[in-house]
Parts: sequence; structure tokens; C-alpha cells
Amino acid sequence: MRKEELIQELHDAVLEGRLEDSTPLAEKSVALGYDPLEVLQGVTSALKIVGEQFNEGSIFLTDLMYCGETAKDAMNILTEEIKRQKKEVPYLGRVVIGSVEGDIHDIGKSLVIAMLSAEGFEVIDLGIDVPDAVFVEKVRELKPDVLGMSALVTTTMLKFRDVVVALEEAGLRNKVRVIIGGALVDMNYAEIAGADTFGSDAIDAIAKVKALLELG
Amino acid sequence: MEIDSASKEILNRTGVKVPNKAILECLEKMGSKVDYKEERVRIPPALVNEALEKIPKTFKFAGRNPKDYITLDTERVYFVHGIGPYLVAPDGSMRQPSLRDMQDTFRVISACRNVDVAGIPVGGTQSTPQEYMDLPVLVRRLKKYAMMLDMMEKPVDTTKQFIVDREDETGSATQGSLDQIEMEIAVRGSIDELRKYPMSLGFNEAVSPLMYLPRNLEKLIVYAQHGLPLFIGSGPMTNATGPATLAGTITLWLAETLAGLVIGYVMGTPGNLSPAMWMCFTGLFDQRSAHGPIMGSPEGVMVQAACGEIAHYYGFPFRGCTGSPSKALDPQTGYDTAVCLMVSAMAGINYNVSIGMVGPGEMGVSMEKMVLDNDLAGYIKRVMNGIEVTEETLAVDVIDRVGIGGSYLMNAHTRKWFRKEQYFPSLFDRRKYEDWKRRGQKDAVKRAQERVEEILRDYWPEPLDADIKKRIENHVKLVAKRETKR
Repeated sequence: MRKEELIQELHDAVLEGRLEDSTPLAEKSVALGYDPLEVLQGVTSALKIVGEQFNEGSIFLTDLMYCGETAKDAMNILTEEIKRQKKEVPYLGRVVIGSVEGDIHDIGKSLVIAMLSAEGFEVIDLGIDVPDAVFVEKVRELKPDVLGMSALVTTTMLKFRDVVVALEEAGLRNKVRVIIGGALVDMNYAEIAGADTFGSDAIDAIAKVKALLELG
Repeated sequence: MEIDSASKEILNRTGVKVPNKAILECLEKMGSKVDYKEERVRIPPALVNEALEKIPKTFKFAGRNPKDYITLDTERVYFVHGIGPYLVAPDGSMRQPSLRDMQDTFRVISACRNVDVAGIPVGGTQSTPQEYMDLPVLVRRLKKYAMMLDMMEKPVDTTKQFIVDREDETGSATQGSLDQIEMEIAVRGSIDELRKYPMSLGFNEAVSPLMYLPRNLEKLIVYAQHGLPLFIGSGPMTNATGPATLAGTITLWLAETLAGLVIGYVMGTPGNLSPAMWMCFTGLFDQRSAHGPIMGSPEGVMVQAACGEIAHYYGFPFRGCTGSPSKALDPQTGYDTAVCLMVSAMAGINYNVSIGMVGPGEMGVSMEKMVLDNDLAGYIKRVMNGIEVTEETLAVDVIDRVGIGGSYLMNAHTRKWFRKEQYFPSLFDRRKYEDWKRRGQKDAVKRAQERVEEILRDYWPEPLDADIKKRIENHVKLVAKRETKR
């Protein structure tokens, strides 16, 4: 398979959310020795179209999540190869994300992760019920551009604040932007918690993360 | 019935998560397969059938005075004031309600004669008035309930007390429910009297898919042990917490509801088994706007109507919940509310939670919408009352007497019947154009605002009986003393 052909094929697989085609195509590109950065470009350009289509309403949430997963599978293989070649992966930024306490459904956070990945961010999910100390440790270790925290109402404010204070004490607060989200979180909560901003929903969260990092 | 056997298969094959050891042990004794580590129970169809047969299916629900009761069965249709944490203005802007706002809301709902039950005023437990925030959680909840009883003759729906809010985790659902029931016993005089005319329901919603929560179960146990009514069901969102197919979502809902029924059955006292009302609050998880539940949608209301039919098939009364995802008092809010409530009523849903609710996911409550919905509820009730056909209503003699080209306006038959036959809305406008223009060309929202102002200026609910008021106050003091000591 010619390089252009393969890239086009992978691009289309992402556009159509063909989960089963993604890993074989990415592995094939590595096996054939094609430049992983160039192949990755095909994946991210497809994701950009996917994001636009979702925003204008021509594709839907389940489609978007399938496209995101398809891209993620390919990206895992490609970034592995990029790192092996000692080159740098062109992420838009790195986001560490987790729920401060046992969120029952976890739907909101999964959406944010799917959409951030689809936009080209590197997302590290710490899961749910994450202790304050783990947030701090992961910020220290992974040096993310953004820390995202989600939680349910009322005591969330206190929990967010606890993590922010712990980051301050560890001297890390000025090294990372903090965004919070959850059912009833608003800017008022964000200010009290000492976060930089909040996402009212997944779509808003993505826009806010981009704004924080001054990405168009 | 295919849905019946499909749901029973889910309970037997997949099972449900029940994080409560006492309940799991009881279920195991009654023949269920229990995995204690996963807190998962698989319930055999025989036990489900036993619960379906034994649990009582009709009960009364009353406010502070037992004579103000409604009867929950499969026939009657009621309209219930909705919940939502914020107070929403007609333009869609919202604010957290103060104690005064809550009391105002209660005065408005009290003045709405087509509304049968009052919900927690302007919202669930998230919206505890600022004035109560220094009190221990259990005292806050109780004081709020006392305030409701003080201001409301209608039955008061307190379903979500102690279970919804994270803040409540610092209080105990068991103790909170006990405190509430003891206050109700103080109001009624005895537990037997309270059982005859219950004042609250033991709400136990499943979290889809197939999970029960510790605090809901605690509350359910207290109500089951007192033989007070249970309120069971769930609201899987199609696409997200339930299958995309409506039939699949209904099947999942039924499995979750039957599990709740069985739990209520095994935890109850034989001879004093709690009656149960079923509920479904399914809405879409919208694939385009990426959130839910959107209850004011064709799919949401269809699922609820179908679940209502299923509940009735087993003989249980049913509670539905609709609203509009629109944020302001605009045509969409009106369309969504009217269509969904009418479909719900025609489907025979008995307990319709919706009145005054605005915005997606029970965002808030609008006083202006309450008075508009009051007119709508009257409208629907009129349709539900149907057309009476008797010799007198056929009016053959009257038609003969008026003859050809006459008028029925000045007629004894008309005078006798028109008040019964015609529904008179208080806000929906039917005036002639010139008349409407002369009166200031006011649209429905403007008229609703004026009506709310008028109620808040001139209307007060009947005062609570002094003796009952005293008993409530004493009980609150007792609990406050206990909680401050702790």
C-alpha cells in the first residue's frame, strides 16, 4: 500500500469511526516504515473534521466517541513509534483529569476525555474518587499543562479547594492551569475553589481548555 | 408479555447491585443468589412474582390534615409541583432561592387549585435556605419540612430528602427518615393513623444501569419497617445509562423497578407490608447536545407512558415526570409541557410531576410557570373528564323547544349545565381583540407575572392548627437538642 493511500485509508477510518480498521492500519504503517509523524497528521486532520461535524450537528455523540476511540487506537501505536525514533509527539497539550469523589455515572468526565482526545490533546485519566495527594503527585510527575477535576455538587467546592491548596503547598499551583466541572459547578465555585476556570459541559470544557492554553 | 419476561431474565441473569448487607442476607434467605464481594444479587422470577402479588397497590396520601388526601391507584390522575434547585425568572435567568423565595413559592402553589400535590419548594436538598445553613444537616431538613407543613394544605412531596445531596452524607438517611416519620406520627397522633393517611413516601430510585445506592436503601428500609408507602423505580436515559432502543430502556427500567419492589417486600413486616407506587423519570441523553435527561421529548414521554401501562398491568399506581429543556418561558416550554402532560394524562399516569418546572434536568422552578401550568392542568383535567352522555345532556327536548334559528343563551338547561361543561382558565386569554388591546395587550407571561404579584400581595394559605404546630415545634426542638449534643 502506498503511503498516501494508507494515510487516506486511516483518515477515512477515523472519520467513519471504524474501530476495527484503526490498529491494523497503524501497525501496517509502522511495519512499512512510513514516517509516523506524517501518518499521525492524517489522524489529527480527520479528528478536526469530526469535531467540526459534531459542532454543526451533522454527526452525533456516539459517532464522535467512536471516531475518538478509533483515533486513539491508532495514536497509541503511532506515538509509541514516534518516541522510539526519539522524536516529539505534536500534542496540543497534556491534560491530567480525574473525579475528586465517587461520581456514579462518570459520563461527563468520559465525554470531556473523548472530546479532548479528539481535539488532539494528550489526556491522562486518573479515574474516579481520586485522593488529593494523587492529584498532586501526578501533577508533579507528569507536568501537565492543565489539571481537570470533576465532582458532584455542594461539597465539591471544598474538595476542589483542598486539591488547589495541596498544589500550592507543593509549590505546583503556578505550574498548571486548573479547570473544574460537574453538575452544578459555575464560575463562582471556580473562584472560591481557586481554579482558573470551569466547564459548564463537555463542549464548554474543551473551549475553556483551549482558551487557557491560548490555542485558537 | 415480552417485556415482563425479559426484565425477569435480567434480574435472574445479570442481577443488580445492592450495597446493603442486611438486604442481601434477606434476599439470600428468600432464594436469591448473592455475591457479597460484588454486592450483587440475582433474583429468581418466583420471588419477583411473590412480591408483585403481595405488595399492596392502593393507598392514600395526605397533607397535614388527613381530610386533604388523594388516593393513589391506577385510575386517578393528579398534577404535582415539580422540583429544581433554582428559582427561574421568565427570561431564563436563575438564582439560588432564599427562605423567603421558598415561602413565596409555596404560597403560589397553594393558590393553584388544579395542582394536587406540592413538591419541595423551589428545589431539592441542594437549595437549603441560607438562613438554615448553620444548623446540623438533620435539623435543616426537618425545619424545612416543618416550614412546608406550616404553609401548605396540600400533600407535600418530600421524596428526595436525605438521599440526593452530597451534603446529606454528613447526616444519616436512616436517622433523618426516622426523625421525619416521628414528626409525622406527632402530627397524626399515632403510627396507625399515619399508615391510614401517610404524609411521605420512601423514595428509592435505582441508578441506571442496575445499581441501588446505600442511602436510598437506608431510607427504603425505614419506610418498609414502618409499613409506610414506597416509591420505587428509575430513570435510565436512552443512549447513555440505558439502551438507545426505547424497548430496551423500558426493559431495563422494569428490571430495576422490580428489584426495588422485591427489596421493599423482603424488608417489610408481614401484615403491615408497605404499599408501593412505581415511577419512571426517563428522558433522552441527547446525542446532539450531549447531555440529559431530556424528559420533555417524544421519546421520554412515550417511555414513561409505556412504563405507566406496565405498572397498571401489575395493578400499581405510577408516577411520571416531564418538563421542557427550554430555559425561558417561551413557546417551546409551553409546547413541551402541554404535549407531554397531555400524553401522560391520556396514558393514565397517576402522579404527574411537572408543574412549574423549567429547564433541562429539573434545573429550576418558575412561579410564573406554576400559575400557567395551573391553567394547563385544569385544561387537561377537563379533557380527562370527558363528555357525559345521558338523556338530559343529549338535550333533545331543549333542542326541540329552541327550535330552528333560536338561541340557547337564555335557557334553563344552559344555566344548569354550562358551569359543569365549560372549563374556565384564569390566565389563558379568550378575549376579543379590542378587549385585549384595551387591557394593555398583555401576553401570557405578562399576565402570569401579574397573577404571581397578586397572589404574593393578597393570598395566604390557611394557618396550621395551633396544637399541631406546637407538636411539630417540640419535635424539631428535640431533634435539634440531640444533634447539637453529638
